[in-house]
Amino acid sequence: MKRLRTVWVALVALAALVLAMVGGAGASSHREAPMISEDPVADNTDLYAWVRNPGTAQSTVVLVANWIPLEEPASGPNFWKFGDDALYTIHIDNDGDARQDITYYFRFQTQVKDPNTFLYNNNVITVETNGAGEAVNYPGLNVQQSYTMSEVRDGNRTATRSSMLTPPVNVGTRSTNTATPYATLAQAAEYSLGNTGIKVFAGQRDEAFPVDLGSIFDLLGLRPFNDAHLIPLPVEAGVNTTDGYNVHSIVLEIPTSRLVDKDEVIGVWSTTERRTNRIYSNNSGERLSHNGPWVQVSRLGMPLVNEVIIPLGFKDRFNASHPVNDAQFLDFVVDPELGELIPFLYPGVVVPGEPRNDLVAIFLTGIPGINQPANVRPSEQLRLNTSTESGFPNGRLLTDDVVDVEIQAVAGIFCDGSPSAPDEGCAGPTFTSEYNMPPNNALSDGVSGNDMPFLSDFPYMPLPLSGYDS
Amino acid sequence: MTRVEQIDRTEGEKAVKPSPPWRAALTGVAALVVVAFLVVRVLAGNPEVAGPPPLTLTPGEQIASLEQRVQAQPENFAAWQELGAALVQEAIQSGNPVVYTRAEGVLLEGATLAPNHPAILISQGVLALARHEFGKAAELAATVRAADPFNADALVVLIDAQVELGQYEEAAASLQQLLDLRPALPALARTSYLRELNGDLPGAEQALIQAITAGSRSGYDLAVTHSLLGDLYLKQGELDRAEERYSQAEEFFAGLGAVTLGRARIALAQGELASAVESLATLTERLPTPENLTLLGETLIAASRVAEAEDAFATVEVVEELQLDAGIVVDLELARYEADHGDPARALSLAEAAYAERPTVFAAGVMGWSLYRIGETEAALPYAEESLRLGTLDAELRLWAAEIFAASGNDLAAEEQRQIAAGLDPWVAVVKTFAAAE
Repeated sequence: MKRLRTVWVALVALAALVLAMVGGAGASSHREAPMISEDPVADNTDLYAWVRNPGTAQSTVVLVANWIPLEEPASGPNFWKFGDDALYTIHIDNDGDARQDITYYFRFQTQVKDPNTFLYNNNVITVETNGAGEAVNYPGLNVQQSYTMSEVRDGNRTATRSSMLTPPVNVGTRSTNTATPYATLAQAAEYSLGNTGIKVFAGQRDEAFPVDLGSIFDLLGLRPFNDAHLIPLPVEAGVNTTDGYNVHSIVLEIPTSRLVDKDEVIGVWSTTERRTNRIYSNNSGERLSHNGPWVQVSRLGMPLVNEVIIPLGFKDRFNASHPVNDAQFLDFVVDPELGELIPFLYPGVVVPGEPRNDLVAIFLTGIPGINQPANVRPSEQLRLNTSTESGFPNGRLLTDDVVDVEIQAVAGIFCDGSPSAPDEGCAGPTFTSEYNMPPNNALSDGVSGNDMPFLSDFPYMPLPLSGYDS
Repeated sequence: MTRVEQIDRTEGEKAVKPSPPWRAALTGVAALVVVAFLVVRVLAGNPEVAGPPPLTLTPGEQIASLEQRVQAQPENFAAWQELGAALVQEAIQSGNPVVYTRAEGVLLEGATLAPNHPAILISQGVLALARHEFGKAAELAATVRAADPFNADALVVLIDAQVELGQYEEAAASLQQLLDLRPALPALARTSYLRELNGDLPGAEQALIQAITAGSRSGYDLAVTHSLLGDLYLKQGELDRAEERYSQAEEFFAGLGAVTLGRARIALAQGELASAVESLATLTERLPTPENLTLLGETLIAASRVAEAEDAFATVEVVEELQLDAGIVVDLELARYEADHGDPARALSLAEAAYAERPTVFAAGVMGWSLYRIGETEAALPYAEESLRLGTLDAELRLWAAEIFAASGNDLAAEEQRQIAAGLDPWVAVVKTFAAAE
C-alpha cells in the first residue's frame, strides 16, 4: 500500500515535471556556463579630452577615460575594481596618420591584506602619505589595488611609475568618511610622475555622463519632443539614467608640449586589452602558461560612435578594430541609418541625405580649421586642437552634452547643404548651416548636467556616491 | 572640405554595409515595424552603458516592467526582444516550464516583427541550448555569423552546440576564434571545459580561475563559474576546496542547483549518506530530473533504504513513460538509468538514438555500457574505446571501460582504467555499481 501511495503522490508531483519535460527544462545535464559576453571591467564607457591654458607655457591636456558603466555604489562586499587581468590604454596620434605615437598603459594588481576575511575593509579607512602627500597605504582597507603607469613613445618607455594606489571605493559614512573625509582619502591618490609634469589618478568616481537611455532606447524617444514623435506621448522632462551610479576613471593631466609634435591637433582613443589563450598545450609534456598575446576587446574615441554610427551587427567588429583600418566603417558615416530614422520618427524634421561629409569631418577627419590635422588619414578618434579652447566636437569637456550635440549633428546642424534639397546631402561641415534651425538644433534628450558637482581641479571627475547613501 | 572621394577605402577589410531593404516600405503600418527593427539595430546592445530597465530591479520586477511595455507598445520590436532575453535567463535560472513557453512565444513575436535580427536569434539559440536542441542552436548561431562573423555571442552559442553534438574539433576552432576576439568569462569558462574533456585538469582549473578574475556584472554568472570550479576540485578529491567554492557561489546567488548537487556529492565522498540523501531530496523537489532522481535512488540503496530507493526509481520510470508518451526526445540520462536499474535493452535503444544525434564521448560511453549490460561485450568494446578518445578524466567512463575491457579478456587495460578512476570523482564508487548483472 505504501508503495502505491508513494507512486501516486509522485505522479501528482510530477504534473509540473511533465510540463518541465515538455518545455524541455532540465531534460539532461548539458554543461551550463555563462552565455552573454558582457565584460564591464573591460568596457570603455567614456573618453574626455580638453586643454587648459591653451597657447601658454602652462598649457596642459587633461585626459579622462572611464570603465565599468553604471556601478551601483552599494555593491559590497565585492566592490568594483579595475581588472588585474586587463591592460588599460589611452592612445595619442599626434601627426594624423591614424597610428598611436604615444600610449599610456595601466596595469592593476590587487592585494588582499588579510585573506582570512572576505571584507573589503576591516576598520575605518585612513591614509598614510609620503612627503609629497601621496598615499602609500590605506590602513583599514583590506582589498587594496595598486597600479603601474607607463608612457611609451615609438616603442620606448619614456616615463613610468609603479606602486601607485587606487583610493578605496566610497563604501559609506562609517568606512570612508569617519576618521578621514572621503575627499581627503581620494586626494591622496593623486600622483605626480617626477619631473615629467604628468599627474595621474585612477579610481572610483561618480558617473557623470548625462543621458536618458530609458527614452532613447525606446524608439529614439526624446521626452521633451514626445508630442512630435510618430508614437506621441505627453511631453515631459528627461530622466538622467546615470544619476545614482558610479564608474571607474583614469585621469591624466599632461603638459601639452609632451603630447604635441608638429601639429597642434592630437587624436585620442582608449582601449582595453585582455590576454588571449590557447585551449590546449602542446604534446611535449611541458605545461604552457596558456596565456597568449593581448587582444583588444574594447575601443572608444568619440562618444556614442558604437551606438549612433556603427550598426549593431558591427559592434564586436568595431571593438576589435584599429583606427588605421577605419576606412571599413566609412559608409556607415556617409549614410547613417539614424539620419533616416529621425525624419521618420519625428515627422516634419528635414534631415540631409547622403553623402554626409559633415559627419565624415566630425567623426573621421576632424573639422577643417578647427581640429583637423594637416595630414589626416581618416579614422575615428576624439580630436583636440590644443591651441584653442576646447568643447565638443573639438575635444570633449566633462560638461559637454554630447548626446544633444550628436543628435543635432545627425539632424544636420553642421551640414553644408540645403533643407530645400536634402537629397543632395552635405558637401562638408559648416558653422553656418541652413539646417541650423528649429527643430533640428533643438533636438534633445532633455538631460544635461550631473547629480554630483564636478571638481574645479585635478582630477575633475566628481567624487563617487557612497554606498551607504544610495 | 573633405570629400568622401579622397578617402582611401583600400585599407582594411571592408565592412559590407547592410542594404536597407526598407526604404521602399517607409509607408503605412509595415513601416512602423521595420523602423522598430532598425532603431534597435542602431541603438540596442549598447556596450557603453547598459540599457533599461534599471539594474536595481529584481528579475521578477524587470520582467513585469517589460511585460507592461509590450502591452503598451505591441509593435515595438525592442520591447519583445528585451522581454524575450530576460525570460530566457529567468527560465534557465528557475527551470520553470511556464517561463520557457512564454520565452519562446515572446521571441517568436519579436522574430515576426524583425526576422533575422541578431539579438533575437541569439536569445532563441540560448533557449534551444537549454532545451538541448543543439542542432537548432548551431543553425541559429550560423545565421547570425553569416551576417556578422565578429559576433561574440553567436560564437558562444555555436561552441556550446558543437561540444554537445560531439564536434570537439569544430568546437575548439570556434572557441579559439572567441578567445582571440573576446577572452572574457564566457570564453574562459568554455576553455576550461574543453581542457577538462581532454583530460587537462590543471589547465581547466587555471582557465576557470581566469574566468572568475575576468568577472561579470551578473551574480548568477559568477555563482555558476564558482560552482564549476567547485566541481573540478571535487572531481580531484579536494573536498574542502570544493566546498569553499560552493560557499562562494552561494554568496553570489543563493539556491543554485549545481551547488546542492555538488554538496550532496561531497557528502557521498565522505560517506555521510544521510546528509547526501537530504541534499538530493531537496534538489529533486526543485529539479526532478532523471539524473538527480537516479542519484537519489542510488544513494538510498547505498544507505540500505531500499524501499525509498524504489520510490525514487519508480519516479524516474514515471518520468520516462510520460516523456515517451509525450513524444519527447529521450536522452542519455534515461539510458543510464535504464542500463543499471531498469531495462538494459531499452537503455540501448535510447542510447542509440542519442548517439546518432550527438556522438559525444558520454554518448559513446553509455552505448558501450548498455551493450555490455545486455551481454554484447564484443560490440561494446569499440564504444568503450571511443568514450576514452579525448582522454576525459571521468570515473564513470573509466569504470565502464574497465568492465568491458576485463570482459574482453584485457585485464591489463581494465586495471589501468580502474587505477585512473580511483583518483577521480570520489563520490562515484560510493553509489555506482559496475557489475555485469544484478
